[in-house]
Amino acid sequence: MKNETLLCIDDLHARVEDRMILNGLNLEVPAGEVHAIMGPNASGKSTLAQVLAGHDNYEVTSGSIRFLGKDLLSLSPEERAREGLFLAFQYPVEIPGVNNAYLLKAALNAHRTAKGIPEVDAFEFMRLIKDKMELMEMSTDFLNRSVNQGFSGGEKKRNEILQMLMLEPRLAVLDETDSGLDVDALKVVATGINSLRDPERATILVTHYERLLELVVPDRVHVLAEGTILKSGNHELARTLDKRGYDWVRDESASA
Amino acid sequence: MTLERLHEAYASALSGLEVSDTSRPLRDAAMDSFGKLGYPSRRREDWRYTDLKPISAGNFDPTPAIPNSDHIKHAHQLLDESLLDPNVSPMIFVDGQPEPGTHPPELSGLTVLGPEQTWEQIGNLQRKELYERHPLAALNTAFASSETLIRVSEGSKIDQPLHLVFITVESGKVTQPRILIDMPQDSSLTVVQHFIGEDTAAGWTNLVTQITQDERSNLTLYRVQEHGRAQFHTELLESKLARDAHIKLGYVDLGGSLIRNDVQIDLAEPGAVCELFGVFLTSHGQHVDNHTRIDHSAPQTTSREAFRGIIGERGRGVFNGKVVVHRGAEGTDAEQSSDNLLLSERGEIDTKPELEIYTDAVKCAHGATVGELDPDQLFYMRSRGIDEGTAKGLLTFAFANDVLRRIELPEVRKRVASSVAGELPDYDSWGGLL
Amino acid sequence: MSTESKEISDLVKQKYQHGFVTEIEQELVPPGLDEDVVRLISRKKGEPAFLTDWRLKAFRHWLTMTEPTWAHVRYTPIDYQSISYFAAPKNMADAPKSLDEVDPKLLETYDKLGIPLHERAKLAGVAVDAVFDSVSVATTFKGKLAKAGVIFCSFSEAVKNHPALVEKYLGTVVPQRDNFFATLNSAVFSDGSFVYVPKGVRCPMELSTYFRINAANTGQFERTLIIADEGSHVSYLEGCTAPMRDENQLHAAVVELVALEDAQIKYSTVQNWYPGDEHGVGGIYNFVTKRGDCRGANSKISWTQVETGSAITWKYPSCVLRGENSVGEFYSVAVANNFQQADTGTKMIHIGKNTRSTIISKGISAGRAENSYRGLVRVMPSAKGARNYTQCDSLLIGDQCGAHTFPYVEARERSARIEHEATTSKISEDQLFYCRQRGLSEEDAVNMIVNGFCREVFKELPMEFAVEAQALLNVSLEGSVG
Repeated sequence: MKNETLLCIDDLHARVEDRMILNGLNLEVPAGEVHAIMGPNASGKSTLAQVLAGHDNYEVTSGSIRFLGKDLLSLSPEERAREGLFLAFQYPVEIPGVNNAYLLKAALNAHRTAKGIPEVDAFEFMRLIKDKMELMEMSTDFLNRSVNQGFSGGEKKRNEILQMLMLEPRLAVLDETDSGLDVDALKVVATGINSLRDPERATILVTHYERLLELVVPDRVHVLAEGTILKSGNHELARTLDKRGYDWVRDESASA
Repeated sequence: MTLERLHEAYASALSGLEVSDTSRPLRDAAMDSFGKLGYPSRRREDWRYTDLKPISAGNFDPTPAIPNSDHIKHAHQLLDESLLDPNVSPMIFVDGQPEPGTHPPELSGLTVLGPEQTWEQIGNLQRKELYERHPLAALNTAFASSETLIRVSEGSKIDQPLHLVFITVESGKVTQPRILIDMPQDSSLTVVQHFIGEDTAAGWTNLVTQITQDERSNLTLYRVQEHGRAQFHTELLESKLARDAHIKLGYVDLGGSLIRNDVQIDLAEPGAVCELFGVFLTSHGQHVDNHTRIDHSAPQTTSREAFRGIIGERGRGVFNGKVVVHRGAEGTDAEQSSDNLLLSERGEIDTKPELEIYTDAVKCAHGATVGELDPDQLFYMRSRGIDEGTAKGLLTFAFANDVLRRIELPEVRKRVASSVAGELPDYDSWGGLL
Repeated sequence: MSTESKEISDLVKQKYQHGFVTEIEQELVPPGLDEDVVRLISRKKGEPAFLTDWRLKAFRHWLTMTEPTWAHVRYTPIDYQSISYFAAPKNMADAPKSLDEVDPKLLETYDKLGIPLHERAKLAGVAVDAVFDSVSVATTFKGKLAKAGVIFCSFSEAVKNHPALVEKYLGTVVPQRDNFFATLNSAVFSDGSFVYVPKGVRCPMELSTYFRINAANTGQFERTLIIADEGSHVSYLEGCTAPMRDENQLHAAVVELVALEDAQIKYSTVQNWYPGDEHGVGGIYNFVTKRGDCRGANSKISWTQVETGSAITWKYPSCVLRGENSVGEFYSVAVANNFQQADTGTKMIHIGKNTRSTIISKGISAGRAENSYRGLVRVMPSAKGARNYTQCDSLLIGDQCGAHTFPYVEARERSARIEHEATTSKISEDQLFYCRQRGLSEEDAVNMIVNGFCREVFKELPMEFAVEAQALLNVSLEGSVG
């Protein structure tokens, strides 16, 4: 039985200011799968992630995106989040004076209220988060620090995954979560991502490098270049790209 | 000089001068303004820390001077001792008058014009609001002498800096030079204004420099004030910048008795940039007051302002830097700092960096510090064997030099740095290290 | 005075003692200010001669003064002769009989601010019955304080019961002539708080104006005097988050704090005076002079305030750091929205050796408001080793408002160390988007970020105030985004 299609992107064109970045992108992600999106720099990978999350710097000029059957483009960023879309940012922003626990609790409760479930109280919240923090090998004192303030790159990425684990999204979009991580941090992050794999959820890993994909093995790999998906395949494709780079894909698609 | 005396002097002074017809109505209107406004008093917020009584009560002669050959010889002696750059022939003004028989340097793309053309330009720039804010500028207009218009031709980028040196020799005179600089599109120029004089010459210099900057023009102006110890100095410098124009101003104040500098920059079109830095030393009764105002009137404009003051025994320093970000000036990026070292028991510094912001999409920050030398830095040097006096001297010099480094003319920078060092305490013991 | 008016005024005195109001009373005190009015005020309060003379001296000086115009605020000139200077007790016949009769919008605000139900009635001015509760609670507090020897009563009561203390300290921190509004206040002040904490006593609870009996609407010309004797500690809370309306538009209060050797005073204010409607009409003009004198060595005075109300705010809680090693602190959040104007800040005057001051000021501007920080740090030649740190941040919401900073730093002592930093910013798009991607609505995201901005100040507030302050901030910024 084919799984439910969580995400369906059809002929998406998007631009930032007056530059077209996505030029007719098509993508289908069924529930239960992990898809990797790879490609050279400035190919539009991050743009895709931001467009999915609804950042208004980017304008969708044509095409459609359906998420769980709904028209995603008609929803505001917080509505998309509450529907179950999570974006782990490439460059998580700092919010001075707002501590991590507070932001998470507020977000968790916003999600719950949207689903009609009662909000968490302080005890339940602490119980939930302590488990996840152990999994992510983070110490509890981070809870009182301001969001991402004074965090190293690796800490910021771990924080993103921690938030993801607490909010349990249907579709997680991870934008270059592996960049800047050392071997140990990478393992911890991969554990976190893998713990969320189940038949009801899907993950999109936007990445430049192959290393993460050895730890979080993708079901499908797509090559995004020149604003569109030029080639798709399985995990082998990722290994080939790692050895040969991206040019051959472009050449192949040009001659097709 | 009381208002009455000034009015008398105005009438008689002008008859002694060869005053161009163009200038008469402008001078009259300006004198009228000053008559109504008078000397700025301490009740005005922007004059709260500086008392002009020594000037208003002083007995000066505002009749433009006519230097004779002795004066000129004396001036040259002083100049030889204090030349900023031996490779450059400056334009020389003796007691406010251009040295007779000398010509401005011949530089391709640069024209230096005299009174007739200057007054035309003054007419274009004259406005009531300017005088209301700066009554002394009105006075300067009325009595202006050595009116000079420095004009660069469109597209000309002039490598050789233009030096103007103002030498005070005679005592008791009021000299009021008026300098205009016209920078058309894509032009670029560096100007150096230098003030020197005898320590016994007790007079008053009241200067106005007005600058117009067209698109993408680039002006750098270094102003080095090394007046004699008894001289009073007030000045206004204003510039209005068009799209993508740049101005860089460096203010160094070492001499004089009572100094008040007003700088007014209008970043009027997008992309305009202003860099304004200054170093001032005051001690033994000197009073230095730097009052600056930068208006961000258009979006995407940038300003960087940094002033450092070193206040010695019985010195008094005042800094007021006002940055105004007008409604609609989104993307403004403004930074301002005023850092001050109090070296002795009886110095005083009053600093007030001000921000007035009327729109939200901006990045503005300012800081002000007053303190002593960093004890950690001092200790570090001493732990390496350097004695306390030398360590203090070097650190104090470094405090100033950090900003002086922005002077891009190597000869001028070296010379200014060594003058600053020379004014610091115990220079003899550590000066040799520089 | 004529025989006729003397008879009437005696009549009035009688009626006041019986505690009810008749229509006659209101007719008898026409607006206007002259020496007779000043004497009338003093007589109605039964004040001793020294105080009447004190008021008159102030009044005579006030006549020679002109209103200051240097603040960055614009307002229609106040006609001092059209104000009534003796506030007659409210005519209870007109008061709402129950919460049902109160403006529903007001009740909605109480809800948002989390004001407990039993307080709402009092705040809304409901007559008699509902007030009963709070009176009994207040009596318990009085007992506790009496045991500790702490005097906490209204200023008028203090004049009657502790005149020597009042005479000793009144006007010694804010001299009569200090400024136009302080002088006016010295002449016509109505009432306020008086606190005296004896040597070595730590006041057993936080003192709140709410529990002061006879805390009728005397906000117009309040006069407060707090004295902390050697080694004592006291924390005082002023105001409340509920929007306070008042027929009297002009508020000119004076607060004097005296901290003797080793004493500490913490003064917290949460103020939400009626700011005027969305079009800037109406609204209170709040001109306040607050000053603390760290008279003794090792003393400490802390001002913490959250100001979100008033159409015009003009206040500079200050510390005079006289005693050696004394410490002055100022933590402030000032919010200006719609058409509000605020010109506020602090003055720290360092006189003694090794004194320290900390200033953390957070200004938030939205709508078409103007918010200015005006601060003075003055280090006198005697203040060896003085230290000051100032952090002044402004947050702008929208492009029609203004945020200004005017810090004056006057240093006359070489071993002083003064650091002032100021930043101005808006809520970044990135921060907003991050929060929204986590599921928060834009409004909630703004509230959270703004509260984060103010956190350093909020954590200085006594707990109960801190929670209310956060709610208050959210309510004040309603409608400012989007």
